[in-house]
Amino acid sequence: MRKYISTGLPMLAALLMAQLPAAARAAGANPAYTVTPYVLPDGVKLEASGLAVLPDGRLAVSVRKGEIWILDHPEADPADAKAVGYHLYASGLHEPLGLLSHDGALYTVQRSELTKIRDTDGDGVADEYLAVAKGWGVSGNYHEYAYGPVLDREGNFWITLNASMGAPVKLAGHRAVEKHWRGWAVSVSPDGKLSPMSAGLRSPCGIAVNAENDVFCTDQQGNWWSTNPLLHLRKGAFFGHADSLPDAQLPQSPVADPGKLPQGITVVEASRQVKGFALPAVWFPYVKAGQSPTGLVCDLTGGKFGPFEKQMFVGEFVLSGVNRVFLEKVGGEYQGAVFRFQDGLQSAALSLAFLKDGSLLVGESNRGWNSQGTRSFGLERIQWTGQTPFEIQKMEAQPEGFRVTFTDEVDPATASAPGNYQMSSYTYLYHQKYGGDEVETKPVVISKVTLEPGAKCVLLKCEDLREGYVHELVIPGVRSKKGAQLAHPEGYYTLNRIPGK
Amino acid sequence: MPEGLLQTGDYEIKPEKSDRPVVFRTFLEGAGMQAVTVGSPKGVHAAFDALEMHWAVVWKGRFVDAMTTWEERAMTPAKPLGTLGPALPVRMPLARLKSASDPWPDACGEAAGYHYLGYRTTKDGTPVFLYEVDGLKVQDTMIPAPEGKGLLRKITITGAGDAAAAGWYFLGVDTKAKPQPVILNKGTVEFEELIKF
Repeated sequence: MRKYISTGLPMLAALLMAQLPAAARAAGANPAYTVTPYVLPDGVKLEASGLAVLPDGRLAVSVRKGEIWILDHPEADPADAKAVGYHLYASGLHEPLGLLSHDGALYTVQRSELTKIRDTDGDGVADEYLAVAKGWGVSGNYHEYAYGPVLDREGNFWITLNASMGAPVKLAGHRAVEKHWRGWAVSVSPDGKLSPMSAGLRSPCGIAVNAENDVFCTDQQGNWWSTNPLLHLRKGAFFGHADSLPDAQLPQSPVADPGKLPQGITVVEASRQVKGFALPAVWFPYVKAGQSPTGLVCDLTGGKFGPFEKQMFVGEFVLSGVNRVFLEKVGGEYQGAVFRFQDGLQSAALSLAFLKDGSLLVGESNRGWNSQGTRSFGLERIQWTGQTPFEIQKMEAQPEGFRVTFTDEVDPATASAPGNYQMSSYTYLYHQKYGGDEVETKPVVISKVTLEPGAKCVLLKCEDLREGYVHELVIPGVRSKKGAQLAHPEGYYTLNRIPGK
Repeated sequence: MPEGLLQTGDYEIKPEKSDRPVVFRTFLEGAGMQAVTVGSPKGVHAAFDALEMHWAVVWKGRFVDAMTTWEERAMTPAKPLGTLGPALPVRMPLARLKSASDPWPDACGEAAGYHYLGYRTTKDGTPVFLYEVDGLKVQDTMIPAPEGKGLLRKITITGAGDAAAAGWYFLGVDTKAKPQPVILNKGTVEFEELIKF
């Protein structure tokens, strides 16, 4: 866009040219993937807050302004709106932020309730909006968003609830004064019983399960969060945001009230001092690996989306992209690494889903916040070309370092040279203040690099590993056997535990 | 201009341009944070409070502007845009009394033992709200009254036992309404009331 402006074209023309939906294009740094925006029918403002693929392959899209649309053939050419086929299915919802296809119905979370939506007479339009559960506080504060649902392995729904911001709004006709379970994750049994599960959330705007059906959510940098985390939700965990804690004193709370919270110490130290404190599975270093993580999805395509099976893909709002997370269990708890994956989307990514053909859909809406992608909303499809990308496939913790696996065979010379591997480690402060820098940054000495047989893995022997700290690996010098550079030469591993220690 | 680049600015919801009732959930003055507003193409509208489970506001003329709900960061509650109808009393439609002359209980919503179940829409798109209290299932709806006279409220109560013997009464929204015993016939009874405005 800058180029057009500098040649003197009027601003409007420049914007128009920059905004025209392109056909499939390679966006960002990864040539093995293409991005194609759906060209929407006139008047369809698909501010896509939730995506659900139906058993027959159709796609349901929730729209934050209260609608659900069905796309009959989401795998058709996105440029051909007629071939895709858009139908309004449901309307009148209160800011639905998530969508689940389950048991012949669609489930969404509105501001104040988990709702089961069905078309009982088969005319293609929903006629039943049943409240499965409600009971969390809605005081009228704008920030009280609610997200989900997803299903855990026992068949319970999980929902995440933003912390409120500020005092309840005074409004004629509204007499409820309590606003319980703000900043919590809650679960709902199939028969509608609501149970608070985890506390300490701020703005947990993405929720998903991994291949093992464990439940994860993203949260947003701000008060009590120096940067963005990926959290493994489970009963009794407290993740750090203090506004949720008064409810820990209620009899239904599975979270023990930790009492007065320390501040200004590292999150690692806080996890030792604060009762019930659970560290994130992964920290997303601010801006380096996203600025505002949103919806996420696990790659269960069986390889149709490339060499990242069972990894999590995470939407990114401000930077308008998608990041990638590898998780492993060490000492019984999840930890892992984040890598950048896709940049240059047309709008803020909010929701992700895989189509049956293995392409990754990105639902978008920036709702008036800033996003690098300048369109207000849309739907895009990321497809694997079938070429092998050259990426860090995964990064696993080892007793004395890391094992780094690449997606393709590496060039033995560049991959074996210790000088091509830079690593540092750092952590964050635990404090009420809004956001925070990396602290206690130290270089990590990589004393030995061993290329494993098969030439796809290297073992890095590291000095001074620090438990609880993010270990940032930067390796632009490593080449593939074919001479390719890494599409994303950085990985950020959250080393909550060193294996075998 | 590519779609989504500029906001066009008119977010008023205009049921008169539709052939079906319009449902819009929002924070609403007079109906609280869990209002379900129902706008009729005939220009008579109502808001159901899904938290307390009773009708909260009726009005006619212009319906609601969705701008603050959809676009404003602060999410200022919306308000009925047209002319308000009669103020509806804050109370539940069913209560257990010792006699018809007992005072109607003040408790609302779950505190009164009610449980919200959602709504179904009729063929023409009108929501019928569903809730229950002590085994009695309620279907509660408002439709435009004939000849533009306001709204017609229809409430159907279904139960297995003898509700009248258990002391259940229905009380309409009119300020002059009197409690009527809930006498189930084959397990159901329907009450109708005209809200004139």
